[in-house]
Amino acid sequence: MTAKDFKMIYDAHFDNLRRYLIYRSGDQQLSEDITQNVFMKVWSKKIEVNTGNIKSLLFKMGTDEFISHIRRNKVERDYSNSLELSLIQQPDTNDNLSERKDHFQKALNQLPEKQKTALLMNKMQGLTYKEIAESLNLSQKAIEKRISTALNTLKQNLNQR
Amino acid sequence: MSHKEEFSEQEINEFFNKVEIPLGKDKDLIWAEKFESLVNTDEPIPSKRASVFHLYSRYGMAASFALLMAAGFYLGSQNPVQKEASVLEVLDSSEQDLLADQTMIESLFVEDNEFDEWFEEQYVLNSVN
Repeated sequence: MTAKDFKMIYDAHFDNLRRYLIYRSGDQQLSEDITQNVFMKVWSKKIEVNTGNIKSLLFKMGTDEFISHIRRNKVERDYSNSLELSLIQQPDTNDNLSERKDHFQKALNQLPEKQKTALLMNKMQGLTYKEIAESLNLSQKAIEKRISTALNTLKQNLNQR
Repeated sequence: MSHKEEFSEQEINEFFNKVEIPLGKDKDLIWAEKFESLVNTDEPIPSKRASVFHLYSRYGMAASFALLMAAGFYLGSQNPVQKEASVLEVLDSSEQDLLADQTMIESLFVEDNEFDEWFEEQYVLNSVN
């Protein structure tokens, strides 16, 4: 891997991996540290760009490092305190739209952690089912089911009166 | 009131695109602080390869010189043996010539009727011994 290849991968995936780790950990600094470690490893091991899917490899490395960090530090994840997702703040002239945005935010944050993770990886990061399965060490079927359940739960939450 | 209107698939997807996760430090700043120097120092420098080759060629030349020296000493140590052998050969041949000459001179002073006996005693026996 040349420095040019590495910079290209860094530009394309650094922020995506960091975002994914933020919504898994709810911790900005930890996410930044883990993302840096992942990229350090990619450079030091000279992982070839064309070996498999670099995107899912990066997410898998990030997930593994995050899990081992939790095990190493015996951190008990407090899911209720995990990151509250919010929508981009835009001056909404439409009160109705603003209200619907708030409702969406609440419904999304009510999702169980595992469902939310798989759903956001798919919808926000644009990862395919296969890539998510590789990243989370699960079968593609399990991911399909998880995302489908997450979407149904989200719709139920959204349409609750 | 607004909740009464159901969320469509399209609207849900639009909201997903608006989900914001605030990032701390800018990635370009992190690159400059952590990765730029690392990547630049780890890049192979072509001139280093040239110096390594130069070093190897010097070792090669030294090894060749040492081999030539060793071969020279070995061959040099082999020559005295050959010289000694040839000297011994020369000594052997001159001794034989001397004996032959001596025998021929003595034969001149031997009587004809005693010659067969003398020849048998002196020449044949000496040659056999």
